[in-house]
Amino acid sequence: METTRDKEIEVRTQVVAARAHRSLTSDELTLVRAQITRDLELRDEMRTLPLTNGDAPDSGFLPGHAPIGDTTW
Amino acid sequence: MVSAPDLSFASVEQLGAWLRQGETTAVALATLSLERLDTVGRDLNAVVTLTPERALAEARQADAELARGQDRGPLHGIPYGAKDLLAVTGYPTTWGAAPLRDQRFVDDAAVITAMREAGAVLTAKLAMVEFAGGFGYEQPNAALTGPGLNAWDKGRWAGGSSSGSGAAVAAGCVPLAIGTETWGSIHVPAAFNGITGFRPTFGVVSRYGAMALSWSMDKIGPMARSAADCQTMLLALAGHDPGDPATLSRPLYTPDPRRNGFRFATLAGAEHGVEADVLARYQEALQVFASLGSIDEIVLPELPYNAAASTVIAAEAASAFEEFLEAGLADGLTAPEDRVTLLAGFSLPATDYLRALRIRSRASTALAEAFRGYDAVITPGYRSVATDITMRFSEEPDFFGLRTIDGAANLCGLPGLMMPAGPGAQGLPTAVCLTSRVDADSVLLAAGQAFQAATDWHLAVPPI
Repeated sequence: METTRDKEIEVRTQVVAARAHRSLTSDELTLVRAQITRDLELRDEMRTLPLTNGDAPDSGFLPGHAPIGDTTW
Repeated sequence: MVSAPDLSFASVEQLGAWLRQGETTAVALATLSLERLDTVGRDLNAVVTLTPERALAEARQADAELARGQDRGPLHGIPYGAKDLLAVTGYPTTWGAAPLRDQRFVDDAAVITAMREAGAVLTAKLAMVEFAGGFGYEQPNAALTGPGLNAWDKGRWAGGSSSGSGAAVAAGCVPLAIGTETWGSIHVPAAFNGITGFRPTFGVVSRYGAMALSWSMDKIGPMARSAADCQTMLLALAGHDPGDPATLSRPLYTPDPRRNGFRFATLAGAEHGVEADVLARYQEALQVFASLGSIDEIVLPELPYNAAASTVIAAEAASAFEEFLEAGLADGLTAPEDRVTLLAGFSLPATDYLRALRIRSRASTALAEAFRGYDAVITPGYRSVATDITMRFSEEPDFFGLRTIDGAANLCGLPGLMMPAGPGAQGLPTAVCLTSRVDADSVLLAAGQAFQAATDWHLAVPPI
């Protein structure tokens, strides 16, 4: 029976195949699937840490870095 | 005049003394470095491009300046190599990748400018894993110049991704090299080649003119034969640069004069999976550290460091190379897996990337708290000596040491120092790693110098 995970792997593989500059071989699609599977395992591992609504991302943006002068704001 | 073998493995301080005493010249040092890079270095696949025209011009200038009493400091007239992801005008900058073998830039990278202003002499662009390993390589043979061979045993890997920097320093081709690290790329080649490698706090060294793999995790740092030489080089490289908005606005880097009275910590579980020969050397190293201060054991907070770090790199690398991938240029890469694996990043949800960034906020706070009150956390450098040149990374057994502390430290921008810890299996180098909190770069380098004053493992020379 196909799981939600299997569906996501397949859909994401199709996204990659659609954006690739050429048709990928079956061996190459296997490599892509393997990486997507690893990425999903990383997601699982990351989700072992409960986050709250207040846990903000460590964003690199600081307003002080925005250019001053002939900007639109 | 000093003989060539002595010049090839001397410290920066010693070379500087000989230069100022008239025992050698910058031109002689540059010529020796170029010759050794062209023979020993190329034999190790450590060299992408020699820079003889620039080297000899810089060396002649250095000699002329010293002759008229103009001294730029400890790097004046000293040869060095730069990882080939750093832009150098007049020469190709390949990023280790065959499709970019003719890529050129119009400006020098900020670190190249800084070294020139310090009087140092660039002799080579050094080999690296293609795109610093960010495309998913699974084997040492993933570089324009072939697999990086270890200076101690050509049947072993030099480590990645700063392979050439590690091997060239170990083999006496250059006393100093610039490496870069997103995750392990200074530390692993340093450990495998028996040299000293320093990963500065994120933002201490400008990345202007360097290839971007992961904007929020890339660091540039020194690779040398001692912590003292790393510090000398860091003094030239550190500082705010408007060209890299991530550089920190900090007071000038100031060396820490301490050589004892340190507060060290070890990590519970850090010996898990470490091979017996490495473990024996690590335990001997702990005895040395115990003579330099106190050692407590602490527990690394349990957080998904490695998963977050991997996700950040995957997302940022896919973005950094989006056009390159879409154009099909990855088809020309050396390792077959590098040609398609990063494409998977096109399907990575933004929510996963943001989750990784949210975890980094938590992790930074947790690590700062765990390391509070300690000068450095000591761990084994790597689970084994340098791995076989044919080994695929999927065969690498799980272990706690480098992967865990380096994953956490790289995710959160912490500094780290890798140092030789004596011979392990087959006489190959083992290593010990010090990690500390953000901005404790000078403390780490002080502890490293104290360790190396009490040991001579960093003075070992490979049988070339």
